[in-house]
Amino acid sequence: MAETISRVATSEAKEFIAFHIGAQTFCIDIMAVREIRGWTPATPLPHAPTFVRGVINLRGAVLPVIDLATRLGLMQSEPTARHAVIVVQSAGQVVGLLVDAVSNILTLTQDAIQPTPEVASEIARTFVKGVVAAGDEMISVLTIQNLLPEPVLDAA
Amino acid sequence: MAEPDLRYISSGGRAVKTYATLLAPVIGIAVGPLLSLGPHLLQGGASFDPLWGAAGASVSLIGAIAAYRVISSRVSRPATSLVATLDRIRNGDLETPVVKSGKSGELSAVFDALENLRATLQSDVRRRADAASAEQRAAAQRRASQDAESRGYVEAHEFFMKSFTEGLERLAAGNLKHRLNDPFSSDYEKIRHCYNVALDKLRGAFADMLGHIDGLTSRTGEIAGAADALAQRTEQQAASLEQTSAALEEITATVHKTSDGAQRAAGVVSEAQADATRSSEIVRNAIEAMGRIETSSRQIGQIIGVIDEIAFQTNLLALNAGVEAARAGEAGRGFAVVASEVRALAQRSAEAAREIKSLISTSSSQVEDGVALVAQTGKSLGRIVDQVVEANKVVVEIANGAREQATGLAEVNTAVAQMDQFTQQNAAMVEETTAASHGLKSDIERLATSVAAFDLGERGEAAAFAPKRQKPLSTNKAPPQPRRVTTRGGALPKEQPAQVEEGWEEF
Repeated sequence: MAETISRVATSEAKEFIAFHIGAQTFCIDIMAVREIRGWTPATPLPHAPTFVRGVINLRGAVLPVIDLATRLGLMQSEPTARHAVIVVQSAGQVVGLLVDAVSNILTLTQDAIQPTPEVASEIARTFVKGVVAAGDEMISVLTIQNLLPEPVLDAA
Repeated sequence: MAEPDLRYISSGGRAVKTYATLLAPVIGIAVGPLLSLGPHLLQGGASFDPLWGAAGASVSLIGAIAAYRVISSRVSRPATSLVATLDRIRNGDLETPVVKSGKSGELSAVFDALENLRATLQSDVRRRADAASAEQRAAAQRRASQDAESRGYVEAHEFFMKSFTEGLERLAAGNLKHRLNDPFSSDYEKIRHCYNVALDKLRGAFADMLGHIDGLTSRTGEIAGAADALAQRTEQQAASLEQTSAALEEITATVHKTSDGAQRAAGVVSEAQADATRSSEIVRNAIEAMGRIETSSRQIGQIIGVIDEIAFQTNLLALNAGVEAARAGEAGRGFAVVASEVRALAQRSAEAAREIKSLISTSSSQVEDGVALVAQTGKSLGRIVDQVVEANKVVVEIANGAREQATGLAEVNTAVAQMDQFTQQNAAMVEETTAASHGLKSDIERLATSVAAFDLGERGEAAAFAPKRQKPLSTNKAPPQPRRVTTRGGALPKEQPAQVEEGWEEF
């Protein structure tokens, strides 16, 4: 941690929240995160897209929760109390992202984030801003704006 | 014979008596044979009557005497002649005719009378002599015939005595073949016949006896051999019974041991049953203890869950604090460090909680396994208890069976003892039988010897029997000693095989 802090001190460092979905690790810019909380059962919305889990009560405000695994085209997860919901704010929209677990707060310089390979599809490149090689695992840096669906954006 | 003198004339009565006396022998001679032959003559039916003859003679004599008295009383001279004549007549001279010595009529008459008398006497005497001679001839003939008859009798008697004595002597000497073949006189013929018949019957009887003795010898030999074999076998039986008894005693001891062992086994099995019952109690306690451990583990798990929850929430709080610190920018740097430290602690707590949880989970599953194993142990123990109970039953049955066997064996022992007793009695009886049979054998041999003293002659049986009699005599000089049968544990007497070798093996 001290090393990270020192690295941040020497270059244009940014902090990211790293989390797991399935066996993969992703991260998002910490500045978009409002808070992190445990999973509470969501009230499903009729005719909502499949990746929208429903809505939860966040201190009196209705918070839509997006199943990030479904949104990323991965296996739909069965949420438990140990799952976490990362509340993010993007373009004035506050949305909860259901993830398996929040693992770490990363401090990354801009050059550590490598661009998404060209071989990936357009949709993948829409979601994944870049990839960070950290140790023996690869961490995909997600673009939050693209994670939020259009209807939600429209609705917002 | 007294001289006839006058004394006799003077005393006429005496003379009469004298003449009567003188004539008496004549008359006796004449009359004696007559009288003696009387019955024969009477039986023969002869016409001569002696009584009448005697009476006639007596009357004639009396007449003569009377004449003589007259003459003697009246004549003296011729008397002498007369006397001489009379004397002559008295002397039996009746042949000489009476010569008249006197011419007197009376004397002449006397002499005539005398002559008549003489003639009469002569004729009478002749007749008598004839008769006597005839009588004598007849008597001689009779005597001769009687003598011949007597001789015949005597000879026959002597022959009979000689032959019969000889026969009896030979019989006494044991010769039964000597028959009296020479015929005896008719009087003794019957005796000879009877003797011969008796001899034949005796010979037949002796021959039969010899035959029977032979049969008896062989049969008594068989009986003696059989008795010997029986004695031997009885002894063997006694020995076998002894062995049986010994074996039975061993079996009885074994059965008693079995019974004792079965009872001990029953006791051991009962203890094992009690132990198994106690063990099942222990197993139940162990299961309960396991259950309590499980409960505790569950409670620990719950607590660990709470700790894990706290760690999770702490981690979230630390993350949120980190987010807030990042938002705060430079001002939040220190706070970010603290939040990071808190998050690390929370993660370690979660880690520890997870480890404890897995340990508890492992322990819990192991406790479950232990419970299952203990339950299985309990079931096994229950089965063991059941089996031990079953084994106890079996062992008790074995013990009962052994006891019954012991009782049965005791009865068998009693029976064997009785059999032994009976065998001893049998052996005693067999001994007696043996002794009796041998005594019988020797008696029969003595009888054979006694009978052998009699010569049965050409009938053949005796000759046939003679060599046969020798054999039993030689083999059975001494009757076998009565054997004492040993009662217990005794060896068989050793003289038995020698007896058996005498040819009674086939019995």
